[in-house]
Amino acid sequence: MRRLRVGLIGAGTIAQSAHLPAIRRLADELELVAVADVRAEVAADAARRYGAEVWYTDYRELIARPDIDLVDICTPEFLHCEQTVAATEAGKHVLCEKPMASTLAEADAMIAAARRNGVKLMIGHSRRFTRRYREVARLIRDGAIGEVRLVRENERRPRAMYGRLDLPVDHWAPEGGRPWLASSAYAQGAALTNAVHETDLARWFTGSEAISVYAAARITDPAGEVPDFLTYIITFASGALAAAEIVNQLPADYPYYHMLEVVGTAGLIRAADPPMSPLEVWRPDGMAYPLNFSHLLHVDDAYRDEISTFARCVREDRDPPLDPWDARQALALSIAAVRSSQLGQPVLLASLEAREEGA
Amino acid sequence: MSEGAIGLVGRGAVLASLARAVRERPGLRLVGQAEPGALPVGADVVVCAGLYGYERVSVAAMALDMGCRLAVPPLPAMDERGREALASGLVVQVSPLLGYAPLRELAERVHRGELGRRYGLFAVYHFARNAPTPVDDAFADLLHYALEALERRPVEVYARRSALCGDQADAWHAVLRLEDETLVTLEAVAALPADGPEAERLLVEATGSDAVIRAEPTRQAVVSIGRSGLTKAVPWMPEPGERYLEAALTRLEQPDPPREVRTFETLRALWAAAAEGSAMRL
Repeated sequence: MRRLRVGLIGAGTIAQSAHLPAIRRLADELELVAVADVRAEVAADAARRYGAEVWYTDYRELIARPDIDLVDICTPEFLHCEQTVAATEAGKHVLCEKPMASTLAEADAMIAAARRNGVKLMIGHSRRFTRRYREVARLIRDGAIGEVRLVRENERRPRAMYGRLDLPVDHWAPEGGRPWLASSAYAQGAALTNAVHETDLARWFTGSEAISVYAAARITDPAGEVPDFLTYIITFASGALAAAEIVNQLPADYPYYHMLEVVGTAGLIRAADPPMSPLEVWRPDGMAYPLNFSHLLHVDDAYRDEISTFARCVREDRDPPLDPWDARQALALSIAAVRSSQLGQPVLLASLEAREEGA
Repeated sequence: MSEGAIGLVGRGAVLASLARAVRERPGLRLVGQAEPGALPVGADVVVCAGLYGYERVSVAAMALDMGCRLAVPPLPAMDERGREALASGLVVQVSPLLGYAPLRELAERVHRGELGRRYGLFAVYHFARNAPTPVDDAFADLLHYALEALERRPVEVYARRSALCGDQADAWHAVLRLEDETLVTLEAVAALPADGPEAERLLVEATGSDAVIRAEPTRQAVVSIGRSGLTKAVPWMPEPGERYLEAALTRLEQPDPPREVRTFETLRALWAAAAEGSAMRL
């Protein structure tokens, strides 16, 4: 089996905590050829650590290489459209981190570019490849709880979560300012950063499209410019609801925690990090959760399976299991949540689409 | 209130627990128990438990007419007589959820400022689909508890009242923004399968810069896994009567009519939000 040759763009936290380790684990299938990052020292270090032949500070040099089959984009979402379109124009297959883009117009342009150039595009919604959620989806598909009527998800993250992973890199911070995730010039907050996971699962599990979204958000990080706390209620065409509360600035030692409950007409499913963390340490000064992030299923096997699945689809010329349209629709829900929290009123998805078309 | 004559109104196990709590508390005298629809005579104060929403309003109106001091579970917001009773100072509302020690403890820790900068409060109340509990009452109890724990005025509310698993309303979802920006997320749903191992599930998480305080009072069960592989979980909980009584007496001692009316108006705004499908400013 010929190994697919991979170029990775954006060697920041998600690349170094998930993508690059997963590519290394898939050495029988994939060969990391090049790494690009605007920070030269980050690109060079990642290339050295993960055995890439070459590194660049300009991603265009990476995609210009004729020997790269697949580009893995791990940059902030405001760059996804430009980089995806450029990579597909160069004939590369693209695996792009979630959220798909910053706007629906960008997402549509990405889908169109992949179609136009006859290459495959998949958005890395890692939870679609997490065993826990796949099992939930299977149970739903098999009719274990009847028709899905409610999807409840809560996500809790400690502040400076990635700092606990001892990564050699931090979030990209333009001109030494605040990290891009907390900057209103580059990010839109929790609705896109992490709630796009929740909105994607809600669509997946309800099997329905949303009609409206109500969301309330706030900034809890004194240094932040975008909301890091979000609570929403989504109404689906099927009559089902989805609700979630996302909190991203909890005390530093609090365990990363995701709770999921799916209520169906004939039963319910619960899936949560059990019960708070896989390892708890009791000390005189309180409890500690040393493995509160790195050992969660989201980060371990899910990324390996996601990347491996996409590579197999490329090799066998099959459609990826996660259609870019699904990622686009999850993004639409997250953008609707942003709009709703700004307006203080529910947002109809139809009006959001119309607004994007008119923009 | 450390001594006096107490009358009780209500039904069921919660009333029995309340009666035991009164009998066991030195200085208190149980002068009578009445079914919903009547008030015991000769009582200094009356405490109600185990009542449906319409019965709560009815007993509050009676108390107002008779000049009786009454503690009642949260009133539904659709009846003006309920508002009058609360504005009078004679009638106070007590969430039955304060009968659960972990929820009481959570509220007290929030009051003591353990959260640091407050972020939010998430509270979910799931109960069995065949339970007699009307979802509107469960939601009122949850709302009242949340506002009691946080002690701040709501400024904006949104809600959905839905029939998720049947023809009748069985779910409330609400989001409230409080005056200090705290976001409250509430969910009351008749979600638990009728033949499932749980009769109730309560989970409250208060989040802040310095702490997360999480209470799950219903997470107590004896679980048996038989040879056949069937699992049976028998939930058990300490009786709620003692703490509920304590909360009722405290509230009766220091009635706060503006706060009572504010809670009533908040519930009314949530009903309006659910009916109109839009957020309401308070």
